[in-house]
Amino acid sequence: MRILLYEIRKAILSPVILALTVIFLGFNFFLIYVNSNIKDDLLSINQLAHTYGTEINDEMLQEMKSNYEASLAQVNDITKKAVSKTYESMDAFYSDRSFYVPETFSEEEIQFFNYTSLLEFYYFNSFHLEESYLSFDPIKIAEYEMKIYGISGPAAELIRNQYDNFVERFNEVKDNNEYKHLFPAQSIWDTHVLLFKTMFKSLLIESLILTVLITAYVMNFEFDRGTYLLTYSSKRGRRLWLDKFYAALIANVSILSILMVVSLTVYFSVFSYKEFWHVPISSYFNAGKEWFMSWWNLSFFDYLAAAVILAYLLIILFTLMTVVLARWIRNSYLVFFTFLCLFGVIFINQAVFPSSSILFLLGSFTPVHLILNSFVWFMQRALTFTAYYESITVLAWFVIFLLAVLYCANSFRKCDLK
Amino acid sequence: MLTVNNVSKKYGNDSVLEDIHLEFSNGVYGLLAPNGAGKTTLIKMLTTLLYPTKGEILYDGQNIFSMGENYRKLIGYLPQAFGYYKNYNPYQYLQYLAALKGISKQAANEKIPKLLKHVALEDAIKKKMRKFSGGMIQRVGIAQAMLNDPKILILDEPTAGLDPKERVRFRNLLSDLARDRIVILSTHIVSDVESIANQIIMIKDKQVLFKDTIQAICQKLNSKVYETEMEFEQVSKFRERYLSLSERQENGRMRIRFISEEGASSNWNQVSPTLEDVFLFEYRDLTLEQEQ
Repeated sequence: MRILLYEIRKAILSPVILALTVIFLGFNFFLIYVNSNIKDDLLSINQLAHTYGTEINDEMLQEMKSNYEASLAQVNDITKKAVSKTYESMDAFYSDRSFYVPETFSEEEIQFFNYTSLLEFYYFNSFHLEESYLSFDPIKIAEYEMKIYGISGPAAELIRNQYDNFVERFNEVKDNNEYKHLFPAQSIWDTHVLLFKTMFKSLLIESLILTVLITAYVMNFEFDRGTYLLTYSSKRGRRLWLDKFYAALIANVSILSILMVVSLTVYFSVFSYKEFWHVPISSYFNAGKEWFMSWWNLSFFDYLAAAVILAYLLIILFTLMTVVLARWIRNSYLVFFTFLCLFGVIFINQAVFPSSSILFLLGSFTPVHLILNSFVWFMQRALTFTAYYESITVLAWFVIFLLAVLYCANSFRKCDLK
Repeated sequence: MLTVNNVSKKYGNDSVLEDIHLEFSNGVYGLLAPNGAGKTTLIKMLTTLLYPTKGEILYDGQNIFSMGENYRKLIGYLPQAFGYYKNYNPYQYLQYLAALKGISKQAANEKIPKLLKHVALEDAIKKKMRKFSGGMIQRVGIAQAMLNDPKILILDEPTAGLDPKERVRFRNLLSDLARDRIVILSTHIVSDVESIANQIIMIKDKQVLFKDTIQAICQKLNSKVYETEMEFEQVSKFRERYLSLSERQENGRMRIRFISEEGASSNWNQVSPTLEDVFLFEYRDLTLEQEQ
């Protein structure tokens, strides 16, 4: 335990690691800051959800309708007095360019207009929800995706064989009313992309950089400083290699936790999700330019928890990969650059296979593809075609690299330390 | 007792040591050979860092590699290139090494200040090692080797970087330590071992050349070492015929210590051979190669 703590201390107190952690946290705060212009809108949506509940049903629609009509009448009273005009909708009001809203109306009135406008948006979209949802065709979406990537032949056949599952899940979302929930609209606020693409991708890439640096640093610490003759001939001997492996693992998981907890705490304190934690992630409102329908009935909280767990698994997996490299390359900087090359090679592996080959599809079953596409984790997609894409990828690579680490541990025990 | 039993070591196809057989009991052993003769390879095998290609190394009849930590806890080792953490002070560094050696924190807290005092580093206990001179670093190395009160103390070129005063202090320290343990001291500097070693081991052509007391080894050159004086212009011709061991100017002439296997001349004084004479004689080919 004492040795483990010494090894963790080496990683955590490294000036490079400390500086990078601070820089990365600063960058995450910056990302939150530059997107913070939507935070007031999110507060209003939360207020809306608080008033009507998040489940869209006839009763809720009726209440929304009467409130909307009353609000619109109130808006028209104000506009009639100010500009001698009335409007059929808030959309028509904002399209009127004959006056400048901030100069004509008070701040309080503008806020009321915005709230009515929001109510209008959610009322009409909720009212037409069923027909909007039914206008989606998962097969058409999949075919379109395949066309974009030029997938044909056996690869296309493999995807088409999964269409029954695609449709089954689509119908399930329809039948259990998963889609009938209020949620910040993706088409306007892009919150799913902001959280699971912008923020998560940053968090993952930052953690990945730190993971590789920490692992290479800890595993090669003695070789970089020429102390390996002393440390590996001590009573602890070659078992120190395993201590270092555990230390790197603990340090990496801790750093990811620090980045996650701090960044997500700031994120959720700026962007309120108070009313939406239990709304299904497959809500119609979460479908924007991208098609976000999860393979399982997951609430926003469930989805976030699953994404966090997957992030941890990926960081552990990348730790294993770096440990294997550090076993054979006894210079921490060289390990880092070799890892970058390996990352690139895995990323472009699909270029080797024709897009008609099944290997082309399997080429995306890598932790590299996973880490770069966090916003579509657990979502129905043609390219990843199976509901178990994440599980298969993580499990397969874990098995490979756990065996590789075992082999490395064994070979290190028996190798000559010149 | 530590026994090296017919050990050979190869790196790929390159053989470094062949059929080495040695036995060590308590006392100081000087492992004396020029650089590149295989001293460090032998030492790394004794510290389990290298595995023998052939043969076995036994401690009290048990293979040291099978003994694992039960063997390693008995050894103290100062490598030739003693690495250290520049940003640690000696106290922190020894604390870490104590943990690796299985010494409790409390025991280490008591022992480290004493050891650092022993190697005259008590004033630098909290000073970062990046500010240390070569001699100070080497003394930290000596302190860490003694941290676990080893039964087998293995020192690879331990006096490198030490000034003459420190060398004397170090030799005295070793003489004290050697009473109840095996001390193996590898060096290519004869003076490091000739006053303290009970036995000298010389390695030549990948094999053990001598393992004996200094007196016995010096006997090999009995009646072959002479001193004489000559004019400077005669020196180069003389060197071509005899192996010159040392030369110094005296009263406007050159005084030469040399080896002759042919018998004495009238103006030569026969002198007692020293370990350095044997060293220079045995490794003369290697010295010539290095000079070329």
